Amino acid sequence: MWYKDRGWDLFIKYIKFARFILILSFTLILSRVFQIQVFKGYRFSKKSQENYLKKFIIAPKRGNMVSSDGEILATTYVSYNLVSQSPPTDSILEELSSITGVPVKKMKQNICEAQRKKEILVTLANDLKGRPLIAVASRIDEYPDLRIIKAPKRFYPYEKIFSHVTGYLGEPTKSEISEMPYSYTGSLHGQSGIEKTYDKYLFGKAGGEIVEVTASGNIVEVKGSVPPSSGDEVRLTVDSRLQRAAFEAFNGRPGAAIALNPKTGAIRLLVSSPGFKPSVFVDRSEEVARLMTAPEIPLVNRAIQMKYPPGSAFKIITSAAALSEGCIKTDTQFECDGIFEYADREFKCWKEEGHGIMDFMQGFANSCNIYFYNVGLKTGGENLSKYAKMMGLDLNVFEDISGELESTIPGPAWKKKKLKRGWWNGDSINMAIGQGFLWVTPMQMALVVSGLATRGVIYKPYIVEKVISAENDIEYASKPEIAREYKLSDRTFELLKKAMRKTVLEGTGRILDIKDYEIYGKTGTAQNPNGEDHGWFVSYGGGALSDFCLVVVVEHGGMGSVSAGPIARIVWDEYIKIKADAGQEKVNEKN
Amino acid sequence: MRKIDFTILIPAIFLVVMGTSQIISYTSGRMLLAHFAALGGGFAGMFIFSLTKYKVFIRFRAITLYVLGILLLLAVLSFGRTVRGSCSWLNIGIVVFQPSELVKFTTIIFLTYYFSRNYIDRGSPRTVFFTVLFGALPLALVLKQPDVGTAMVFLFIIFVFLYFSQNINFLMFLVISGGIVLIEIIYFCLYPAGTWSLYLAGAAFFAVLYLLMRFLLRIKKAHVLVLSLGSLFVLSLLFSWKVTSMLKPYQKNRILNFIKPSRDTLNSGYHLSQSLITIGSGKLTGKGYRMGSQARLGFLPGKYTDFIFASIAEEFGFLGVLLILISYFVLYLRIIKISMLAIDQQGTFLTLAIFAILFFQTVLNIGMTLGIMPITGLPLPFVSYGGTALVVYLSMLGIVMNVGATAEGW
Repeated sequence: MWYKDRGWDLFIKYIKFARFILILSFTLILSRVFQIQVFKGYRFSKKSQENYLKKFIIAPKRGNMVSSDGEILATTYVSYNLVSQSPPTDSILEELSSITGVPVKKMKQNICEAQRKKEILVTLANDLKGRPLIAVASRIDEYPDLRIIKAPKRFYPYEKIFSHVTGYLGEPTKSEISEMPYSYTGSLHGQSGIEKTYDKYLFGKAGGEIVEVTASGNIVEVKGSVPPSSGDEVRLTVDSRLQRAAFEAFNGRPGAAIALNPKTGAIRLLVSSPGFKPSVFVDRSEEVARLMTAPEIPLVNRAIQMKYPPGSAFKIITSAAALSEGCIKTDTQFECDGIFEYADREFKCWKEEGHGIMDFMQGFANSCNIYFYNVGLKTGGENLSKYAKMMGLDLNVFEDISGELESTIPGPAWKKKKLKRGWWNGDSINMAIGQGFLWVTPMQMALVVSGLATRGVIYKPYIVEKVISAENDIEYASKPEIAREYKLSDRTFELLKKAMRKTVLEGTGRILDIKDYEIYGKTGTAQNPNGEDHGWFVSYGGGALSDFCLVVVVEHGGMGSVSAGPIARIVWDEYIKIKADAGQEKVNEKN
Repeated sequence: MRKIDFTILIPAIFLVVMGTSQIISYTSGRMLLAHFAALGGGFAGMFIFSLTKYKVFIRFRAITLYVLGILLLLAVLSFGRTVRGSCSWLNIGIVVFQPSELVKFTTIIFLTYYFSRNYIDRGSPRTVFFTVLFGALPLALVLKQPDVGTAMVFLFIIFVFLYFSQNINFLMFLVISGGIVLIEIIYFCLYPAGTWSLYLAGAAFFAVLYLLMRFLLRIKKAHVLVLSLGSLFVLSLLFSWKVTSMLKPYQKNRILNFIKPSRDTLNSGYHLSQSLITIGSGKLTGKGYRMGSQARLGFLPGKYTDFIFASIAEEFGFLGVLLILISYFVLYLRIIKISMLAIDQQGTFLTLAIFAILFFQTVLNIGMTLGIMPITGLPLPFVSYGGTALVVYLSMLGIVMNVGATAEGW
């Protein structure tokens, strides 16, 4: 040791200091490694898994919707999408564009979106069919990064006709997602109609694939996969022939029609016009924006989401109230000269020259307003309100399609609470003919009519018969449920029935006078501040047709007998034809 | 060969094996062959140098080697091969190698030679000047390639020999001014054009300093002191500004990332965050040999070169890392011990310089993968892929063995 001999022993301190630095830095490194690998190891190993294990969702096949006569209303078919594991070069994009017909710009948009969402697969072209599909498939080997994958796609064979029954699909909002544990990023769910209310049955269960990827996104191997399971089939009570007949009878005019079986509550048709094409929401086409803002509000289901004044159709309830409470008798007569004056105000009859002297039956059948002004005065707002509620106008029991509106049924108590004003006789006069503050949905009117047909039993309306799983298990089956039961004397029911029959035979409802068949009806022409009157036609059948009642509203259609009547006639004719065909089939079977 | 120093040989073999375990995974063909060739060459070099009497070697070969080294560096600059932006490879027909690694060795041999000859004069300005000059020459040539990492090693070599001069005041000055320059470089990375507030603050500081010295401490020549300090400061500012302006954008980013790692995890901070994930996900026992997803699937950059430590940490876990660190620790402690035992100044200086080079690179490399040192691109001694470095470092160990053997008597 040279430094000791020559008196340079100070140098040893420098070496020892170097050793100290060595120990210090290794302690530091060791503690840092310990911190990262032992303390934070779990967190980092999760991060490393996120790096290389990616999950692919395999979309399930959404269940079908089938009408009562076995027609498919909504189904899912296999579509072919062209995807890429990495963003292709511009020259490849141009080639692909020429093969598939998808513009390069659109593909680039898709690439940007996929990168923003950090997806590993970029969808370049959706729903390839026919020639382009074959062309791409035959050349797929030339592009190692490209794949054609199968993806389920929703299809609505009846498009507009059943649009408000089936509803449409879309991406749910954040709060909706929290209620749908089966959803996944980008999954489509019902936004309206049956698609929405029965989403959890229809959706099925998503499958998945866990794949190992490299840093540049290439798939190394599939680590595991779970196949998706298809959604359940939903069988509806609606009949496609009735639905089509009614929808086409509207011919695009706004309005709604509902028919149901009064004995069960099963809905046989539910039309809201104008319709829309539910498939545009799946394609996310530009049509969506137009539908959202169109002035004719095609997305609103007018059968349950639109309120109209019932007009003269309400006279059924006015009559029921007046007869039950003994305010009038069938032979009570009033004179109609076209104008009714009360407290310095004039109330007109729809027939300017007047109907002359009439009893109850004549007044009802001719829908004479002045007769019913008098009835209303005698009966009073209290009774009108009570009977309107009792007979089902206040019901909100339809659950199969969401969004049903509540009706507005005025009355002395209601007016005091809402408008802070007293009820006066003019209100009773207005209410007696279904005007004034009275607003109801077609569905509520349909329930009132069904109650008449069954003499006081209103069944809860339903449109889903049952839900059947892919394994043929019944997941859900509806059964008739009584929503409201009320008592009126048999005589009152009989009188109303007679009056409605007289309307069909001699009065405003003559369009439903069908030979050999017994149909009861009432028209309505509701004045409204926004323009032309709304036309109503409510009806139910007797005898062989006792399982059918129908309500038709034509928005701004004018007189009920002229606008709604013909539509009702078409539907009744169709129903009679269906009945006859079914009968014929039975006869054939027996033979 | 009467004595093989197993305290050096065994850790070295272990480290080389660990490195090779990863290199086998990721390289093949010529690259892998080159690695095994370098291994053979390295252990041969170790063997030869452990038998060569270092005293004789230093006395008669130091100058030749140094000049040869400088010539090699010049040759690289004239007809070297450029890989990843820096021109540091030389093709001499049979092999392609990195002269800068070789020159690390020749430079410390020469500085040892020079410094031990002038040991009595070690603190004199003349010795210091020449020490710095002999170190700065290869440094400048390496910087020209440009290879900032290796240049830093040469800077450290200069510092080590100044450290041997035992001039406390001078060392303090070096460390403090070095620290100031470092802070200034970071500052200029942040504000390339400087800020007025800095200049104002500087002027105010020196003004206050002058007033304090003149009127509180009653130093008559305060203005001379303050002016010289101030001009030194201005010089350092100019120097750091010049250095910063020479840095490439990615180098500036590395410096800034080191100060604030969360600054940019996607682009320039990607290396560091992936390195941490790689090491951390190894946990206590590792993912198993050839099971490291981070390195294998390409998330970790430089998996068998600069970031090989992370690859090993991922597959062998904390226990594997512990063994590696213990190997280095035992190896370096042994080198320091030999430097204490050495019978002459050459032996002490040479072994200490070897220790310094290896230790410096080890700490910088491992620290870099752990996020406690900036990313410099220095290889991990004995472990990283790189034939020249492997041969040179194993040969260095041979010399250390020889020094030890000489001290303990043949």
